[in-house]
Amino acid sequence: MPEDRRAAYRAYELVRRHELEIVVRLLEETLSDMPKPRGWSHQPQVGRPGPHRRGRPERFRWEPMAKALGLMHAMGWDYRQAEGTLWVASDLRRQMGLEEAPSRMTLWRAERRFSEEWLRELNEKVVAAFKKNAPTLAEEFERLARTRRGSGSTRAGSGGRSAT
Amino acid sequence: MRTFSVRQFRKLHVAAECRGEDRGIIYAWALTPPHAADSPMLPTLLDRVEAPLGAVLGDAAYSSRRNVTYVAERGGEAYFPPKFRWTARANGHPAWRRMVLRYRHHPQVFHETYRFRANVEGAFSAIKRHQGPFLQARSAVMQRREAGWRMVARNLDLLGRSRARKGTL
Repeated sequence: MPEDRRAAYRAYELVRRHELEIVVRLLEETLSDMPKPRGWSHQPQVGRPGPHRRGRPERFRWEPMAKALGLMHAMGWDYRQAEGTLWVASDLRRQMGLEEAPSRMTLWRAERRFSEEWLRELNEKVVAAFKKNAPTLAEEFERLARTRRGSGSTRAGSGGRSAT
Repeated sequence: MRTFSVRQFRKLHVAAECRGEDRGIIYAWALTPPHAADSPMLPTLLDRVEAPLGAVLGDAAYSSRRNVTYVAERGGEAYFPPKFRWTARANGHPAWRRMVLRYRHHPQVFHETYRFRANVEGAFSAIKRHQGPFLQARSAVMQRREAGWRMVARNLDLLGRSRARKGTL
């Protein structure tokens, strides 16, 4: 296998292994300078809607919900799969800043709040991020791999192969 | 008894990068009903691209005098392949005539640039494989939003891979 192909394969393998974390991290980076979607009112303990209130206030803040929706569409999940995955993956929830897992109806309602204009603006931010440098995640993953496997030499082995 | 089909089709128009390292990036998109014409959507798509246009590649459905003039006014160069029985008559659109004559007299040069359009088929294929081949939403508004989220998700995926390739992840 040519050297550049091998490098690309390793890079893709890294992305594939940590796909969820990478998508959430990239969304976090992109959403930092996005405005709040129009009409998003946040109220943690939602009861029944009042008689004269326009729309039901959202239970979660908009940033975690945008991350959850972005992750859902990036992975190709439907609402039920997203609900189930967020229910079991507490580390993912913590990374996204969700106190508890949103239900599939909450996800759908949140999706309705993000307008097309807002999505286009988000896309512009993502496209602009192609050009600028990003903080590195590789060290973090390396550290995680070391703590999980001890000082396992998988990495050393692959480094040897690339050297030959 | 009146019957109707629940499954309807939508047409997704995409303005994407076709050349270079960052090929596949989606700059703009538009979701239309299935039988809407392609040609009038080109200015809508390119209006959403703020960067200066280079070579704009599109299939024959996008080739019209109005579109070629629009691309020329934005400083770009249109590469649309011929339709059946087209003529070089300008009809007030000199950019059209230039494009047709370039195709007639230098077809190799034309195809040398136009061949990169095939990369957008790869982008469509990747969207269908990663984000799924159909939309779940029923209403038109939610379908457009879902399509928008999918395009953003596709770009995020590409961003992650691009950074991993450069070693900046």
